[in-house]
Amino acid sequence: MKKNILAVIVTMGAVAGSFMSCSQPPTECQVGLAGNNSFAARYILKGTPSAECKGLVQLGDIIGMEFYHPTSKDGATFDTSQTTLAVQADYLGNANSARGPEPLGPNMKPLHNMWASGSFSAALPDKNGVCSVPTFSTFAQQDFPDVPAVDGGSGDAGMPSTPEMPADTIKYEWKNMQVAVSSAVQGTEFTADLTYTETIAPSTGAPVTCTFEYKAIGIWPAVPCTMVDAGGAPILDKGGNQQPDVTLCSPCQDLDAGRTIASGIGPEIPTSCEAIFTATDPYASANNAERGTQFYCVLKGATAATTLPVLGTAPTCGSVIE
Amino acid sequence: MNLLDKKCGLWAAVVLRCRAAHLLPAVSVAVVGVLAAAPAMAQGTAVLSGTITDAATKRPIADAVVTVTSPALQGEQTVVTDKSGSYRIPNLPPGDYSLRLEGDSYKPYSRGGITLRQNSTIRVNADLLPEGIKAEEVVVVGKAPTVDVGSSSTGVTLNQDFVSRIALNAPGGKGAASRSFESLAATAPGANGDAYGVSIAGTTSPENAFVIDGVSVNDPAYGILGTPLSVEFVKELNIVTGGYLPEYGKSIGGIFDVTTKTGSNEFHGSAWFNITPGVIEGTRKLVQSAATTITTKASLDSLRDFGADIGGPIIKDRLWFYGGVQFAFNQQRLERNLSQFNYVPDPAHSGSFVKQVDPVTGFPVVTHLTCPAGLVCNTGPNGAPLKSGVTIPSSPRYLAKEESIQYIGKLTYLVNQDHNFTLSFYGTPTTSGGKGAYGFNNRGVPEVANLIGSYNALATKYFAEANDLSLKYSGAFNNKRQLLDITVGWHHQHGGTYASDGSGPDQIGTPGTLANVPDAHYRMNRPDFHSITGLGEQVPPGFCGTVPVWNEKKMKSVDKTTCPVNSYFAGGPGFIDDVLLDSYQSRAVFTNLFQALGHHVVKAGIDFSLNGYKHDKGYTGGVAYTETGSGHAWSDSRSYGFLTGPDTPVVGPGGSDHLNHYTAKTQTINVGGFLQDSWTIMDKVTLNFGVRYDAQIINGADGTLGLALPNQWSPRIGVIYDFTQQGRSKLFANFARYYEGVPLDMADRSFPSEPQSPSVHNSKTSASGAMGCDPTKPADVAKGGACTTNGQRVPGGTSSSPYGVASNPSQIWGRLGGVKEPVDPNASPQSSDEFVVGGEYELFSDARLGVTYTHRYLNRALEDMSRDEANTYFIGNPGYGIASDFPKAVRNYDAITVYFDKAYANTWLFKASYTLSRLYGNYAGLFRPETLQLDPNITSDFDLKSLLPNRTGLLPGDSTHSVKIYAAKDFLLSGGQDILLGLTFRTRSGTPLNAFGAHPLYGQNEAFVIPRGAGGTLNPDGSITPTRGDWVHNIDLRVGYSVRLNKDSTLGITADIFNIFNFQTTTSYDQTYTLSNVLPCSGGTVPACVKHSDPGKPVAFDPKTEVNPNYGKALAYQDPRQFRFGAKITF
Repeated sequence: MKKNILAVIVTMGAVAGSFMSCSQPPTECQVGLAGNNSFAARYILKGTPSAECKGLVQLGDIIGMEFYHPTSKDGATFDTSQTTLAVQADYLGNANSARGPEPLGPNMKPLHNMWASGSFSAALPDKNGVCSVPTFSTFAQQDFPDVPAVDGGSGDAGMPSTPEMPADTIKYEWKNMQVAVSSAVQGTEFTADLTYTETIAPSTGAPVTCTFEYKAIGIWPAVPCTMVDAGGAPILDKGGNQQPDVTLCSPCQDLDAGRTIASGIGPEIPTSCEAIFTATDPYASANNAERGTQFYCVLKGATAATTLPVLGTAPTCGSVIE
Repeated sequence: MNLLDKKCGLWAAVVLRCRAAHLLPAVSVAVVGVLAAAPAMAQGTAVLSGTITDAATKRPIADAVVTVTSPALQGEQTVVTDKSGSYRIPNLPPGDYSLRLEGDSYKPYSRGGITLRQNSTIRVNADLLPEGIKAEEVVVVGKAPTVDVGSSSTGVTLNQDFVSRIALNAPGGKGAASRSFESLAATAPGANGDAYGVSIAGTTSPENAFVIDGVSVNDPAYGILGTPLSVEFVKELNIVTGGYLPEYGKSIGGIFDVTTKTGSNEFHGSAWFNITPGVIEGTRKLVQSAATTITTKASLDSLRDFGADIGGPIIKDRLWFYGGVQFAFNQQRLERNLSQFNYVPDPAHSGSFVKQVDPVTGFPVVTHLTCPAGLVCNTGPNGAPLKSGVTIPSSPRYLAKEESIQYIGKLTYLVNQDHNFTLSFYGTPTTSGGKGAYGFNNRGVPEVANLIGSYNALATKYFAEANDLSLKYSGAFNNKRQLLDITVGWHHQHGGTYASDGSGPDQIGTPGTLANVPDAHYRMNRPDFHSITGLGEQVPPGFCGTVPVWNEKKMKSVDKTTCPVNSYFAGGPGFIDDVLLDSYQSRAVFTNLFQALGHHVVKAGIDFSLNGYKHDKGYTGGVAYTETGSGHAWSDSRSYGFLTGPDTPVVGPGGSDHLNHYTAKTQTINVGGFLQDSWTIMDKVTLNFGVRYDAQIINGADGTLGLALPNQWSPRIGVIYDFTQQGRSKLFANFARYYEGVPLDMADRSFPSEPQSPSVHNSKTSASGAMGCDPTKPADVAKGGACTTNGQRVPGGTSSSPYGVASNPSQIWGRLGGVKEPVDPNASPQSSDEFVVGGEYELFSDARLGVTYTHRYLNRALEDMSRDEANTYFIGNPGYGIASDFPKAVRNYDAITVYFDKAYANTWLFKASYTLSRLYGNYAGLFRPETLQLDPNITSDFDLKSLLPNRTGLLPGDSTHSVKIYAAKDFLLSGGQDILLGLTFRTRSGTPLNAFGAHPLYGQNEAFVIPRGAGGTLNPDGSITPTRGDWVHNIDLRVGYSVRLNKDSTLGITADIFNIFNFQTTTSYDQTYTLSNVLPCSGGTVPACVKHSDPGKPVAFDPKTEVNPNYGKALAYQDPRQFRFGAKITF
C-alpha cells in the first residue's frame, strides 16, 4: 500500500509540475486606438532643410493608428495571427478638412489613402516587448487641388473672404515602425522613420517640393499640456506665447489643482511637455481650433537613437488613494 | 439483541439513565467522536470507527465482528477488528445507526443512538465482557455524543428533520418556486442572503462551492449555483462555512455539500403540493419616489409546486433506485400605470407653468391617466386593449412567468459490502418569459422593473437547463483500512435569453423573427424628452399635451410635454444569447488508516475538471440602436463586428456590415491534488494537517492561453482538544488558505474582448430629413436602407476625442474590442486566509453549545484595472506587480458566533445563534453589491485609480448583529396524529450606507463622495447624519398537521406564514447623493466638501439643486406577509 501512496503522490507531483512552469501569455501586438485618442509624436529631423523648405518643417504631430485582423476562414470571427496597422497624421486630416467636406470627403479620394498601412512582422512582441512593422505596403498621400481665393464682397450681405489655398500634395511614407507592447505599455509608445514630402503649387509661381526625413517618436494618448487657467484659456507669458505645464502630463490626479482625472498616460512612460506644432502650420487653426494648442506631453528625452520600450518608474500618487 | 428502533430513540437519554445501572455494572463504555475527515464530496460520507478492548484486561480484542445497521443503510455493514482492536466502517450514509459487537468468548454488545452526520466521523469505543462474567448481553440504550471532536470546520448540517419542520424557502428571490436548497444556507451562523445567493463568512455567493452527490454544480461561467435542486430530493445539506480540510476541494467561500435521497430495501415515496397565493399577501408599503410617466408595480401572483418521489429495491440487498420529479410555477404580477405631470402657473413668469411639487416629499405631483367610460384604451403598442367602459385604473396587468421541472434518478449497486457504485442524474430545466409573459433574471426577479417600452422590446424568453450526471465508486480494502473513492461527473447547462417569440441568436438575420428586429432605445433629452404619445402609447383624450415652461437661457417660454420619458424601448429585445456550459469532472481519493503514535487517517486525492463555455451572443437585427440626446442621430450602441482595415467592416451574412452573432468558446482546466493527515493522539487531541495544490489554466476564444494560475498551495492545519475526554467537548483552532477558482465569464468577455464596430446614423430629425435613419422602420434597417448606408453615417461620429477625427484612419466606423486583455506577468490567483478558534460542549443529549471566532482576510484579489484612466486595461492583483500603485484589495471578516444546537429528538428541535461580526475593506467579492454587476474578477471595483478614493470602509455585507432562532415541536396525539409548530426568528442589524456621486468616466453611482459606510440620512441643508440601515426582523411560522393513514403512510398538511407581522422595514436605500460628476471628499463634511469633477470645469457644487432629495429613503421594503399551503403524503 505504501507503493500505492507513493504512486499517487508521484502522479500528483507530475501533474502539478506540468503546470508550475506556466507563465502568463504575452500581450498581443496592438496600438492605442485612434477611436479613443491618438499619439502625440515628436518629429526629429534628420539633415538640414533647404531655406525654402524651412517653413514646412514640423516639430511633431498628432498621429492616429488602428490595427486590424483579417476575417477568419469560417467568416465567423477574426484571425489574430495576422495584424495590420494603419497610420494617419492629423496634419493631413486637417489639410483635407480645410478644403471642406465635399466633394473631397474623408477617405474617399480616388487615388490615394489618407492613411498608410503595413503588417506587423509577428502577432506577438519580440523578447524586448517590441512589435515591428518594418515596411508599409501603402503610403498616405493626398493631392489637393488649388482652392482659389474668395472675395466675400462687402456690406452686410457679403460672405467672409478667404485666401487662396494652393494645390498641395502631401505624402507620408512610413517604415521601421516599432511599438512597445506589454501588459504595462499596451502599444502606447512608438518610433518610426517617416519620409515626408510636400509639394505646394500656388496658382502663380513655381511649385516647391520639400522632402524631410524624420524619426517620429510618439506616446498615446495625446494629452495637451499648454498652461491654462481655470476656465481653460491659455496663460500666456510676457511675450504673449503659450507656455508648457508638465504637471498636466502627470499620471496622478491632483484634486487641489483641479485635475480630477489623471493625464491618462501610462505611469511608467516618462513625459515632458513640448511644442509639437509650429506657429506657421498652414492648417493650424483655420479649421480646427485644437490644432492651435501648442504643447503636448511627449516622450521625455527622446532622440533619433531612442529604442523602445522606454520605461521609467511610476510615480507615487500620494494621498488621493485611500 | 435489542437494537433501538426509532421510538426508543426519542427517549434514549432517559432510558440510558434508567437502565445503565442494571445492565452495565462491570462495563465501561467510552464513546468518543473523532475527526477523521471523511470523503467530503460523496454520497455516504460518514464514518464509524473505534477500538474494542477486553473489559477485564483492557487489552485490545482482535477479530471481533462489528456490524452496523440503519434505516439509512441498504443491508448491513460488517468489519472485524484488527490486532489493535480498531475497526472502521466508512462510506456510510448519514442517519441513525446501531452497532453490534461480537467476539469469541465475549458477551455480545450492542448499542444504538449513534447519529452520523454527513462528512462526520463518530468514534465509538467499547469494552466487551468476557464470557466468564455473569451478565446478559450488554445493551446500551442512549445517544452517542454529537460533538465532532475531530473537526474544526464550522457550519451546519440540515436534514429532513429540520427542513420538514421549519418554514424555509421564503417566497420571493432566487429558487423560490422550486424551493432550491441554496437559500437554506442562510440558517448557518455568519451566512446571509445576497443578490445572487447566500454569502458565507463575508464572501459573496459566487465564491461558494456547490456539490451535489460529489459533482460540482457551480455555474462554470459565473460561479453561482447552476443546479438549484429542490429540497424535496435532498437527504442532507452540509454547509461548511470555514475551517475545512483540503479534501473539500477548491473554494474561497463556503461549501454546500448536498447528499440526495437514496432508495432502500423497502418501497417509500411521497407526493406533495404547495401553493403561495399572492391574493392574500400582506399589504406592501409603497416606495415613494420621484414620479415618472410610466411606473410598474410588481407583486406576487402565485407560487406553486407539486411533485412526487419514490425509492425502493430493484434487487433486494443489491440494487436500489430512487427517483422524483417536481413541477414548479412562479408568477409575478406587473401592473403598469401611466401618469402625466401636473403643472401650475409659474408665479415668476406670467403665462408659463411649473411642475407642481408635493411640499412634503419634494417630488412632482402626477395624475394617473384613466380610461374614460365608453372608450377602448390601450397602453402600448402591444398592450392588451382595456375593455370599453373600463374607467380606473388604466393599469393593465402583465405577468412574469417561470416554469421549472426538477427531476432526479439514482441507482445504488452494492457489489458486496466493500464495493458499491452509485449513479445519480438530476436536473432543473427552467424557462420563463415568452408568449406574452415576461421572464425572470438570474437573481430570480422579473427581468424588467419598469415597463418602459413595448413587450417585444422588453420581454425575453429565458431558459436555464441544468443536467448532471454522477457516477461514484466506493471501495474498501484490507478490512476497510484502505479506501478508494472515485467520482466522475458531468455538469451540463444549456441556457439563454431569446427573443420573446422564441427566436435565438442563430436566427438573427431570419426574416419574420423577433431576433431579426433591432432594438431602438429612445433617449432624446433636448430640447425636450419624447412624449409617450409620440412613441405609440395611446392615452385618453385630453392628456399628455404640452405646456409652456419658462426657459432661462432662451428667456422665453418653450413647450414641454406633460408625459415625458427619458428612456423608452421599441423594436426587438436587443441582446440575446445562447449559453452552453459543460464541466467534466473526475476525482479520486485514497484513504489509509493506520496506527502510529495514535490513529492516522491519511488521505491523498487528485481532482480534475475541464470546463467549457460556448457563448453565442448577438443583438436582435444585428445592431442595437440608441438615440442621441439631440435626437438627430442614432448610434449603434451595440453590435458585433470588426474592421479588417480603415473604415472596412467585415462582410457579414447576407452582405451585412456586421456579424449577426458572435460565438466565443472558452475553456478552463483545473487540476488539484491534496495530501492530509488526521492524527488522533490518545483519543484526546487531534491534529489535522494537509496541503492542497491547485492549478488553473484559462484559454480564450482564440484558442490560446488567456490566464495561467499555477502554484496554488493551500496549507491547512488544525488542532482539536477534547477536555472531557468523553467526546462531549472540543476546543479547536484552525488555519486555512483558500484559493478561488476563476469562472469563465472573464475569458468570455476578456480573452478577447467582444469585437464591436459601431457607427452613427443621421436620424429623420437631422438635416437628412426623410433620408435619415429610423431603426423602427424595417425598410431603413434592411440592406441599403437609411440605417445601413454609409451616406447617412456621421463622419467622425464615434470619436470621443477632438483629435481622433482628423488623425483617425477610420472616419465613420468605430473599432472597439477584439483584443485579448493583457495579464500582468506576475498575476497571482485570488486567495484568502482564515483563522478559526472555538469550543463546543454537549450540554445534554443532542444539544451542543458552542462559540467560534473567525478571522478571514483576503491575500490578493484578481481584477482588471486601468492605470491610465480607462485608456488601457489589464488583469492583475491590485497593489502588486504592475498594479503596485493601486491599493491592495482588502476584505477583513471578523466574527464571533455563539450557538446552541439541539438536534431533532424527543419531538423537538432548537437551533439558535448570535453572530457579532465586522466586514471591512474595499472589495466585496465576485459581484458588486452596489450595482449588482456580476462579472467575477472583472468588476469595476478597481478599474480606475480615480474611482478608488473613499472606497475603504464597512462593506455592504457587514452586519454587526445577527440572531437566528429556529424551533420546532411535534405534539403527538392519539390515532397517529401529530401537530407541528415550527418557528423562525431572524434579525440582523442594518446595512452600512454610502453616498454616491457620478464619475466623469464611469457614470452614475461610481464615486464614493464620503468614505464607504459613512452614509446615512439626509438633512435639509444637504448634510448627512451618519447612520446605518434599520434592523430587519423576520418571524415565520410553520403549522402542520399530520395523520397516519395506515401502517406505512402519512398525510401531512402545512401552512407557512412568512413575515407574520408584515414588517415593512426598508431593505434597500437610495444611496445616490448626487447625479453630478463630483470628486470624492478628502475630508470635511458634505455638502461643503463636495466639488465637481468635470475636467477643467471646476464649478461649485450647489446642494440645493444637485443633492438627490430622495437620498437615504427607501427603494425597497421587506416582502409582505405571505402564506404557503402545502400537503404531502408519504408512504
